[in-house]
Amino acid sequence: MKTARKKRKFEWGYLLLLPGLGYILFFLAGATGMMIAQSFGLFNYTAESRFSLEYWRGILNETFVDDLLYSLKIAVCASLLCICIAYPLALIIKKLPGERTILSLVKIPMFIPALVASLLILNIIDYHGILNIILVRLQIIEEPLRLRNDSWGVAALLIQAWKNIPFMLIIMYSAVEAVRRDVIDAARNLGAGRLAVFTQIIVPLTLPSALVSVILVFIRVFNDYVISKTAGPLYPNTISNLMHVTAYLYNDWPSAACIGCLMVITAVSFVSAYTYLSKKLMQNL
Amino acid sequence: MEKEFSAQLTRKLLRYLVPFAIIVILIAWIGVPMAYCFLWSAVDPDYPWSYPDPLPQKLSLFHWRYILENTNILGAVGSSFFIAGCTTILSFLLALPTSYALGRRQLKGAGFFKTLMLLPLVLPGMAMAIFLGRMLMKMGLSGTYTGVILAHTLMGVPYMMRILVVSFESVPQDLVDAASNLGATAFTRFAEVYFPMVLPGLVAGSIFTFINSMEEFNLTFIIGLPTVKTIPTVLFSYLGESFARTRASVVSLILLIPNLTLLLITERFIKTEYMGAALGKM
Repeated sequence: MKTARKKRKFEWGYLLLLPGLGYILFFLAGATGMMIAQSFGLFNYTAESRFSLEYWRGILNETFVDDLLYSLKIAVCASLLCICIAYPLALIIKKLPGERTILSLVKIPMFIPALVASLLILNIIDYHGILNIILVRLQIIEEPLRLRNDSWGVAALLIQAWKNIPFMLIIMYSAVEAVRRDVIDAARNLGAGRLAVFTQIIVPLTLPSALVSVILVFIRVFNDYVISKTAGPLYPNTISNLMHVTAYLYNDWPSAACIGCLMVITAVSFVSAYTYLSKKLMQNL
Repeated sequence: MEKEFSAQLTRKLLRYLVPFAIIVILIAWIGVPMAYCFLWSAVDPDYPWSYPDPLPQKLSLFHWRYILENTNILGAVGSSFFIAGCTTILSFLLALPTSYALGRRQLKGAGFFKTLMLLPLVLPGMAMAIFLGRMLMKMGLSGTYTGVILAHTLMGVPYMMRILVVSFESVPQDLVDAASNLGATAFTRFAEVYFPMVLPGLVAGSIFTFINSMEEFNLTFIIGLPTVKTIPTVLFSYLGESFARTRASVVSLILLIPNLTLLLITERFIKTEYMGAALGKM
C-alpha cells in the first residue's frame, strides 16, 4: 500500500515537468527536425522535394570555411579578453567599499540589446568618433583609425567585449560572493597567509564559474548575428550571416540547413571538448 | 612610527580611490556612448556633424519628429510591449509547475532536466529562428503575433525556470512541514508559504523574460516580418540593411528608455544571485 502511494506521487512530479520542458522540447525538436530534413532536400520550397545528398557534398567550400574560422576567431578572442578583465575585477570589487554602486552600474549594459550596443560603440569608434578625435589631438596617431568593418573584426570584438564583460562580471561576482567567509577564517586560523588563501581557496572555488562563463560567452559570440553584421568585416562574416544570406538571398534553403547543422555540430563539439578539458583541469587541481 | 602611519594612509586612500576610479570608468563606459547617441539623435540635418568636430554644430529635434511622424514607430513600440507582456505571462504559466517539480521534489535525473532546459539559450539563435520559422509556417503561424509570442516564450521559459528553481530550492522545508502540521491544504501551502517566498524570484524572472523579449531580434526578424514589427526590427532597418546613424540613434533611444526605466524601478529585485542563477552555474 505504502509503496503504491509513493509510486503515484513520483509520477505526478514528472507530469509537472511537462509544461515547461515539454514546450521547449516540442519546439526544439520541431526546429531541429526541420533543419535536418531540409538539409537532405526534404520539405524543399524552391525545388522538388526528394531525398538527396548533393547539398551536403557542396557545403564545405571556401566561403563556409572562411566564415566558420571568422566566427571561431571572434568567439575565442572575445571570451579570453572578457575573462582576463572580468575575473580580476570581480576579485577586486568584492574587497572594496561601493560595491553596490559598481554592481548596479554593471547591470546596465546587460539590458542593452546587441543592436543598440553595436550602434553605441560604433558612434565612439567611427572615423569621426570621440576615440579618433582624442587620439589625433593627443598626437598618438596622425590619421583617424578606420575600425569599422575592418578586415580583422576589431570593431566587432570591441562591441562584444563591451556587452559581455559586464555579463561575465556578474557571474564571477556571484561566484566570489559565494565563497564562504568561515572557510577563509578557518584557513587563516590554521596559519594560511593572504597568498595561500587566494591560491588555495578563492581560486579553486571560483574557477568552475570562470570556466563556465568563458564557454557561455564563447557561445553567445559564436551564435551572434547582428553585431558582426553591423560592425564586422564585409567578408568573411559570421556563419549565422552566411546561413541567413544563403536562405533568404540565394533561396537555397537546403544548403542553409546544412550550414545550420554544421553550426550546431561545431558548437556542441567545442562545448563538449571544453567541458571535458575543464573537468580534467579541475581534477588535477 | 611615521612610516607606518603613511603606509596606513596610503592603504586607506587606495581603498577609496580604487572603487572611485572603477565607478568613474564604468560611468564613462556606459555614459559616453549614451551621450553620443543622444547627440547623434539630435543633429540638425542642415549642419552635418563630421570630422574633426568633437561636438555637433547645431542641435534640433528634426530626426525625432521625422521618426515619430513618418514611420510607424509607435505601433512598433505597442507591439513590442504587447508581445513582451504575453511572453512573460505565458512563460510564467509554463515555468511555474516545472520549476516547482525541479526545485522541491527529489526527482531522479533533475540535473539532466536542468541542463536540458538551457538548450534554447545555447543553440545558435539564427539557425533556430530560421527553422523554427519554417516549422511555424507549416503550422500557419508565420507572420502572426501568436507565432512570435510562441517563439519568444521558447527563449523566455529557460530564464524563468532557472530563477524559479533556485527560489523554490531556497524555501526551507521546515516551514512547509510546519504549515502541513497545522493542517494547511496543498492550496494554502502554496499560497501562504511558497508564493511569498518565491515572489522576489518571480519578479526577477519576469523582468528577465520581459526585457529578453523586448530585445529579441532574430526570432521577430525571421518569424514576424513583414506583418509583426517590433522596435529591434525597425532599428535593424536603419542599422543593418542601410546605415542611417541619426535615425538609428533615435530608435535606439526609444528602445532603451523603457528597458532602462524598468531596470531602474526593479533594480532592488534583481539580486546578483538570481542573475548568476539565470546566466551561469550550469
